[in-house]
Amino acid sequence: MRRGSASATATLVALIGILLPTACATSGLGNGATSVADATTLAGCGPSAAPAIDEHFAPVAGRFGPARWPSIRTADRRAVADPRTARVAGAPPLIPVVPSEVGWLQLALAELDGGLTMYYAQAPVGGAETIAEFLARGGLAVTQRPTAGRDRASDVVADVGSRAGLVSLAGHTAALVHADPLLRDDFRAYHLYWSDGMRDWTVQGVVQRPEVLIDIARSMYCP
Amino acid sequence: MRLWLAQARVRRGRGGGRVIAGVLGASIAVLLNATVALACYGANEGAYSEFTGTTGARGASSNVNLSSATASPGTAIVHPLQIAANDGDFVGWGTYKGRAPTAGNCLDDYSGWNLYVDGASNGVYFCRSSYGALPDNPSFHNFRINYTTCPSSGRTRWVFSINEQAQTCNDMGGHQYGVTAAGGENVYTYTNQRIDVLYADLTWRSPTAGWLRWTNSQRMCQDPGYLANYPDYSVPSTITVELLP
Repeated sequence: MRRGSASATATLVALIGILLPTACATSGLGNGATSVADATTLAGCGPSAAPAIDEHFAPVAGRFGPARWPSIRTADRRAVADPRTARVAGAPPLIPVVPSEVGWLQLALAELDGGLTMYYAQAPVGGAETIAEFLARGGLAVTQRPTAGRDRASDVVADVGSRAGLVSLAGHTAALVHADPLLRDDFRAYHLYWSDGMRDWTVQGVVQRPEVLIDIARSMYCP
Repeated sequence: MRLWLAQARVRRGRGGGRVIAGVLGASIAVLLNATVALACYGANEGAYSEFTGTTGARGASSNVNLSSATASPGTAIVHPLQIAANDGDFVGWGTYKGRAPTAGNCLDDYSGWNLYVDGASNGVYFCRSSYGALPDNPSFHNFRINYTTCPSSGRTRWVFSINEQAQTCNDMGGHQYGVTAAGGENVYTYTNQRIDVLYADLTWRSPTAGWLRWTNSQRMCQDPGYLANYPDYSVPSTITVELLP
């Protein structure tokens, strides 16, 4: 989680992203006996491209509100010093590679339902800080919890329609949403939702390009 | 807000000089008050929060007036209840009179206290107001927001019930932790808009604990300067909303 290691890993992932399309093509075309599984696993590991999504949104002033969000450090959520020691759905959690320009792991919280949320930012999470405040300062939240057994991406698309677009993630399908602003209209987070059959995922962050979130998600599946 | 003001001036300005003067005055008042919109809540944080409560309807006071022929632009929201998750999503319920949000599918209505449901699901705001209205006359209503089986779909959702009748079910990205909030609001702030929200009874709980009385039960919200006289908070007429054009 240190700056240096995160940067080095991010660089490695970037190189993999560049090289992987060739690997995928080779796998799919050159070895028919194994290409199905390999192609399924590796599909969506190439250069990221965000899907087209409806960019209309509900401005803060155009809705009833405001919402009152809980503080991130709710008493019922237990801080985990090293998320690699946690268990999600009976297995160690997957740890994403997060670019240093987004930040470093500042906090990991274990939840009552067996989930784990990791918060990445340039500065620590405040004692009473809410998710709205955290995202507004450029933080990124990654949540994994035991799957509810449903296709999370399909559920999201059914819920929000054209506000979501589908993205391929190493054989899984994710739904990308450019969310409505929480505090200010010029700070809108991207959300990425998917299920990998074992865990249900949510990644949220106010980033310049949604591809950043897609790359972070792919970093957990792509070689 | 400024765009809306510009539209209001054009629309009303056709009526004559007196109207224009009034609108200009009102517009200035709106500008002055734009940053002091009332939004007062009490809040309780916890896991798996649920809401239930009994509330008196708004009093049939003569100064409950949003049905002006000129359709004053304000909105009064009373009895808003809200459960917000730690991923930014939330679900809420309340009654409103006046201008609906520009986002979502709630409708402007200056004639009655519309029931509405709003929130954010998977990052996207929604608002619906197709559940009828509560009467102006004082009367008690029970309401509930809880995470349970939705009668229509069989899935576990946040279910809104009014007088024990399920109205709608909503998903929320995260539901394990939340903050319950209750209070009163006004939006599209308008001068002389005053809200005083009181609850006859309000409780909340988590599944692992029993129902708790709201910490700040009864009076949740009072617009500063509003000199209401409620000698007995237990009387049915527990809410008065005043929106003077």
